[in-house]
Amino acid sequence: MSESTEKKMVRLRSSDGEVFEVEESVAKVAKTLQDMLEEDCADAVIPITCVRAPILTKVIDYCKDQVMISSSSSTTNNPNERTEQERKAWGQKFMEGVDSSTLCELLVASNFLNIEGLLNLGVDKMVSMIQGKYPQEIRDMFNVVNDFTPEEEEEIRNQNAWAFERDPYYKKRSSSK
Amino acid sequence: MEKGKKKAQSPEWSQLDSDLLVDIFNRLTLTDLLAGVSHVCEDWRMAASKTRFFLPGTGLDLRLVDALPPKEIAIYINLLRSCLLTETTQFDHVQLPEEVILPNDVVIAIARRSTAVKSLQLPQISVNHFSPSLLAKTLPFWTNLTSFEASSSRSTAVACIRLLNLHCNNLAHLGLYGLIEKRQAQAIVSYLPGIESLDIRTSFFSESALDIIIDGLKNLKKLNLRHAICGDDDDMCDFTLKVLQGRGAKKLKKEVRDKLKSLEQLVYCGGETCRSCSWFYKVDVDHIHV
Repeated sequence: MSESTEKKMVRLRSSDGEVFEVEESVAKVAKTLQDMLEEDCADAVIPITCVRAPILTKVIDYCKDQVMISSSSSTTNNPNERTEQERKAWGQKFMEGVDSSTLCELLVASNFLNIEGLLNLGVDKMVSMIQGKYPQEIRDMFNVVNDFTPEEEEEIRNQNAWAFERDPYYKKRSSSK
Repeated sequence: MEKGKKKAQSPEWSQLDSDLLVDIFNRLTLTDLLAGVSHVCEDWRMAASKTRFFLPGTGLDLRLVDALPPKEIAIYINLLRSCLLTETTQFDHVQLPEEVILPNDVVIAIARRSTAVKSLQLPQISVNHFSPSLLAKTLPFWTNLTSFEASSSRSTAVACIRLLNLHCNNLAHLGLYGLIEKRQAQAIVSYLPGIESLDIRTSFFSESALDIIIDGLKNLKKLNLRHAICGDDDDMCDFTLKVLQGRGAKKLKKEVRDKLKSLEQLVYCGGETCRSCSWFYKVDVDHIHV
């Protein structure tokens, strides 16, 4: 990064104190940062208080790719970046191996930084993880604690006893996913 | 949620903006929502009840409940209830399910949220579906109605008409489907004398009932008789049975037809000449030994 001296650089600090230096164009993929930079209210180092370093790395990877697409697009004869299919495949590969806690942090980060494309990737991923799952499977997967009181849960259980049974209809759906 | 309980969620998920959670849940199918995420924890349940299935903007169309698998209906209704309790959105149109019977408290909560509604189509007004006593509790919220449509049964039609008279002063259009005998016709004429439009399509009506209506409703401009079947006054109860067996429909008398001509707009399928009604006219009632 430091070799490209002629390009304006921006420094970002993650919540755990690591500083990342990126080209301004990369930072500007994030609407929140773009606004800050354009209004010139960005400090020397912009603190990204709710995003940890490993997540910020991934976010920066995404932004770099977006910049690469848009800059290369002007030179190729197909100006509109990748085809829909390529974009999908790329997105899937980008989110591959992302576990649920990373996913959550990515969602928080892309929501905070206002990066629509990344947010959509995260939302799609989360939707695909939830689809066809039982409540307990979802809790285990996302490490969410069941905070219903025993009485509430009993009530829900009684009202919807079926949802916790091995419902053939629902099971079929789960296994087909 | 103010039960003094500690937030038990793992820290990272509680950081997630609740609106974002709603956005995510909006992309799920209703089944995933009802059977899955709404049982995970309180925050998720709350987010689930704010999705498009419960607050679809300013109109509330609950006919989607009719299409749910039976086991998901109760969960949907529970989430709808909590949504109606926490949100204050006013709906400018409301469509209740046609088949599924909503609990009374939910219907009343919906009525409370839809006081501006001008036009309403209710499912069947009957003792075990949408009872007249429920109508008595909801119509006070629906005083702005100008158009009201519902199927009714023999015993509920008159009660329904009286309630409309009590609460809806601006009613201009009435749609009542079922059995229109003398009694119901007299109720319409005496309780809702000002209506301009009457729709009794697909109903069974007696000739003298129609007579009472045409003579009594001075402001009547539109009448819809499409696929409505005319029968004898004396035994409309047996008539329904007879008609269903494909016999006993009566042709409209010439003087009644002439009276109908004075209306601005008449929708009539033609009775015995209508392809879907002709079946009812095949055998004349006089030739049948009952």
